[in-house]
Amino acid sequence: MELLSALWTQRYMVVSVLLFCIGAFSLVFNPNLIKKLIGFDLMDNAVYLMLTSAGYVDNRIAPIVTDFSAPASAAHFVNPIPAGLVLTGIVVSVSVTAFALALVVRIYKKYHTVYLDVIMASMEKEVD
Amino acid sequence: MKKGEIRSAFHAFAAWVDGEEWCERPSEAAPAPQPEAKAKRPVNRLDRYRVYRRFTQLVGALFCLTLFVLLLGTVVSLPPFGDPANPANNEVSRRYIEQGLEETGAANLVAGMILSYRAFDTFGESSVLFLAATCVTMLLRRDEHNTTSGDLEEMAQEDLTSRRDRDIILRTAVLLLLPMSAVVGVYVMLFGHISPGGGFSGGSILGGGMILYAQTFGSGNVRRFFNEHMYHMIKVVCLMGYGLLLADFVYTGVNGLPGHVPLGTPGHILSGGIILPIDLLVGFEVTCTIYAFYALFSKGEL
Repeated sequence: MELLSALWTQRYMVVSVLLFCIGAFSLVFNPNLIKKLIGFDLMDNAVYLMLTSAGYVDNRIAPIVTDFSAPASAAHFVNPIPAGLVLTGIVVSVSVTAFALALVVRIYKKYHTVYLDVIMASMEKEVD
Repeated sequence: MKKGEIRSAFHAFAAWVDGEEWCERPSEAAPAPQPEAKAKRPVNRLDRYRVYRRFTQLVGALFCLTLFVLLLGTVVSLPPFGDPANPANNEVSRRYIEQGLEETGAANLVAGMILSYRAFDTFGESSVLFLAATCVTMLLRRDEHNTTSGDLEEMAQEDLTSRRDRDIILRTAVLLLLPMSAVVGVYVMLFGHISPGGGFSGGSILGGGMILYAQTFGSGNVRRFFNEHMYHMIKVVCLMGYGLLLADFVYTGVNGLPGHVPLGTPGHILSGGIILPIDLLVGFEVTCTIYAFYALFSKGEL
């Protein structure tokens, strides 16, 4: 029971762990290259979910100042640092995904398949 | 025999879940290996890889289960969700919140953080985007070496079909949507320092609008106002402008040095020092990159 309540307090982290494991399984063990990339993106998103949930503080608002009369108090706003890190991460993951998909397109043009086992078999044939 | 039936039914179900039931696996039609090779290797290579794959999937399931349990064990002992006393809410974030508005002039503290305190980090991020667009161009751009006449014929056919099928609903909807997406994109870019948004999100909206236009009216129409020459110009000039602004900022305005870019009145559009121009530059670069990804993946040219 104690374990369950601990997991419920960390529900965002639990979901991100679940997403991460699904993504890792797909990335490493799925022979379809496109599905590997989908798994990679799932892992990315799991990490972003974890980071943003680490920066959240109960009963506080997004870090955008609307009242300019008094200096901003740190007790009003959630942590802005994870949001900035996630913003950077999303752009990098978009770039990496686009690059990897371009590589997959080139592989498909050469081998006419996106299944890694078929590609490996025909590569071995080329070596012989 | 019954066991085999159950297994094949399971495989059919797995293929259905994967959405692969209609996919023609080219491997099935792969030519048999040459007779002399067959003498040496009685097992088909593909079958060997299949057996290997089944084995690795079993091991992989175990591996991922172990990973899941390990990570869950870690999660349970992490600091509680939403607690103000968490170690993540330390003096760094407190300083960004309390001094951010005064030092960067941006009401959006996240924008102030990533484009003023950590502008160098965001410069690296823009460079990554630039490099990705360059690599995709290198890999997918069509030239005489990687295009067959069949490809060209297919594309000409597609062009003809899209010109003949004038979908009135789609065209009218896109004509209504397009100005709105342009206005929203520019708004998100311009107001990135006082409201949620910024260069990356605004650029994505603008790029999405361009993709919509290219999908509906053909990329020939996009080429009338946005050709490859312009794409390279905008991409390079924006990144270079960002670099120069940042270099100027690093030498004059960073770390509390008196900068010569005025911070302006907080909450007004002309505030935030270098954040507004950087947002615009990044936004136009992202627009170009998003549209270039679409054009290169679908047509192989801008």
